Amino acid sequence: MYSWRVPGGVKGELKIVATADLGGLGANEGPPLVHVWSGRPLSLPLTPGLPLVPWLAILGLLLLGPNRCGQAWLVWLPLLLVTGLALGVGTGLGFLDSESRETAQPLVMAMGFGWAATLLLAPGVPRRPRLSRLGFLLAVFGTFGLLELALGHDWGQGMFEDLMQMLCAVLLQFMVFALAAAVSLAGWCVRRRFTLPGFLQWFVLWLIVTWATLACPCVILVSLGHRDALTGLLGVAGFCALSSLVASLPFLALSAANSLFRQRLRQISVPAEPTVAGPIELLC
Amino acid sequence: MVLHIVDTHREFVACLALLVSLSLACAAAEAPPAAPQDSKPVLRVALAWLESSEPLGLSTLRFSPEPKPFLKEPDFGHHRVVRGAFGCGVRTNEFIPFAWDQTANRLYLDRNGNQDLTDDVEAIYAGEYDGNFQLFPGVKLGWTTPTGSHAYLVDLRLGGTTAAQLQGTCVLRSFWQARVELGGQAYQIGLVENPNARIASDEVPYLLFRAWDARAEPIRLNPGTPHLIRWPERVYLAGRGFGLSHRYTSDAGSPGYWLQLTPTEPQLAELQVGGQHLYRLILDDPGGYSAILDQPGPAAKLPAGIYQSAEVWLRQGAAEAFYLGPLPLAVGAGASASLSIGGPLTNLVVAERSGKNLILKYRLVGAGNPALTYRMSNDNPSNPPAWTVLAGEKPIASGKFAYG
Repeated sequence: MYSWRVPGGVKGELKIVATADLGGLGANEGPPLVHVWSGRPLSLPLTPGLPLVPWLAILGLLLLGPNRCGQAWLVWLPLLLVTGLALGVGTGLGFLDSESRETAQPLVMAMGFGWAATLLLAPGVPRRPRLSRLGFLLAVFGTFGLLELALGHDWGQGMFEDLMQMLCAVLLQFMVFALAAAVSLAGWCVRRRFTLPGFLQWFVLWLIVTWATLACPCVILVSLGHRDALTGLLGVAGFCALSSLVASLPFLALSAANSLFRQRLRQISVPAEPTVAGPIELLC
Repeated sequence: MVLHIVDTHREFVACLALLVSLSLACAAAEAPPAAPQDSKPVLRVALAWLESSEPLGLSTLRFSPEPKPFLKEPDFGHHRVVRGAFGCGVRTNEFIPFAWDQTANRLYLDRNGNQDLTDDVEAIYAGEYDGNFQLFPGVKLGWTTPTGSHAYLVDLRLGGTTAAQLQGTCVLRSFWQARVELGGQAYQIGLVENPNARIASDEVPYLLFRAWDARAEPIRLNPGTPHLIRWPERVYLAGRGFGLSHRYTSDAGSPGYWLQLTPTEPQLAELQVGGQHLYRLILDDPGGYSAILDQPGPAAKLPAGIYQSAEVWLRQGAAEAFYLGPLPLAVGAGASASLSIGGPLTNLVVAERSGKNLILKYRLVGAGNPALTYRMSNDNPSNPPAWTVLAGEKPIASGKFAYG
């Protein structure tokens, strides 16, 4: 049995053919089965406005005091770019099967919302203890990512849809942890001289290291069993790391281009100097 | 002279009479016993023990909670050794003591039960790793079943690092067989035993029957073989009906099985089969005969009866496919029936929508309507059947079906 996730654009008459080597007991290729696929149902969400909730949440963050300035509204640019990229992933990457594309799309968008919320809430990062910075990143990335994942998509109803949603939720938790760890560690590496190129280099490196570390116990366990499963696991780890990077790059580009968001990135990533006291100056 | 001639003549007549008497006596002794159904003789076949390259049955070993300590052991040095006693079969108090040298991967059996492991030279087996278990292939064991003491060749799998954790299985690798001639053709006939039988009637679960030329083929229980048939009381094979029974004798020195085929005269019917590649058809009538039809032609004969299940075996070169399952067929004496079975086989896909997904299911079907669903004997889990979806003539997706 196989459950094929039919891509969104497919509609009309499909021919399905089964093939197997029958060693002379019959033809290897069977007769085509004609199936008329009427396209995906235009299902409306249970509450029509639900997919807007993550967007309204970002809008709400813009109303907070530290964000009441024109520069803060620039956060929409990378967020819209990430959304566009995610939708592009859903249709453009032909080399991926439809299941992978439909898993990547909500994950990339969830990470985008996580980034936007984190940068907008950066002034609230606790300065002490240092681990609380990681806790802050985990909480904000996780909350807004899950919010977008749960409400921003029409998952449909059925066993496979439930499984897909659960798989995305689990993967998102791993991605949030890996991203928060990579941001914190990259910030620690450039704490003496914070530059965007330096931060980006360390961020990519720590993202790879974190994913390798997360995958390591699973790789050891799986390598005792089936070799195909090992390939699949490494594929998923690479896929998640790449999705995280794709979702992060537009926000890092914004940080490079805009002083407010450069300051916000520094706030969430670089540990505060113990000698420095007082509130961080907001560039608004 | 005349007297001499007369004497010589008398001696000749006496010798001739003696010769005729002896011939008549021998002829009387060789005559078949009168059978109530038929004048054909009962066929009694002495079976010989043979090793099998393939597993023929699996039994779980039980371990004695309190094995006796050995009085004499080989020098195990600092090796990790687990001592115990395992058993199988109906007698729950029958155990074979052993010492398992896990470091050297060796198994020492105390076959004679004298608590001395050094005098059972032929009962030392080298093992190999099999996952968390150690496998000892080709171990000769003796169990007591309801009909007496039997010898088996088994593969032992043992696991556990202490006597309390011991667990294991034994896989049967031996059977009994002989050559018989039926209808001018040579066949291999025999039986497979069940070491775990609780009652005598369960001791032989399978009848082995195949052309003598096919005797070198491995007998596989998984996924199956056309050459083993669930033990029937009445069987139709090689175009003849027989009552079937077996008897085990454990006489000193030469224990063995006797297979008895008592000819019967079943009322016959005709079966019309139109499919291709048919190698063997086995039809089972629970209240009557198990009919074994080798390469049945378009008008095969079989005993009249109400058949409920069937095994259909197809072959073409090295490829083999089979169907096992229900196949109702009622055919009266002198009547004719037809069956939709056989090849050619066809790869089919069945599609069903489930939300945004299309559930694809694979079926391998034969000829006829309704067609039976077959399975290839040499299914390769790493190369399952494949599917392709085309929109127009352009392939838009492809994949492989998962087994199970």
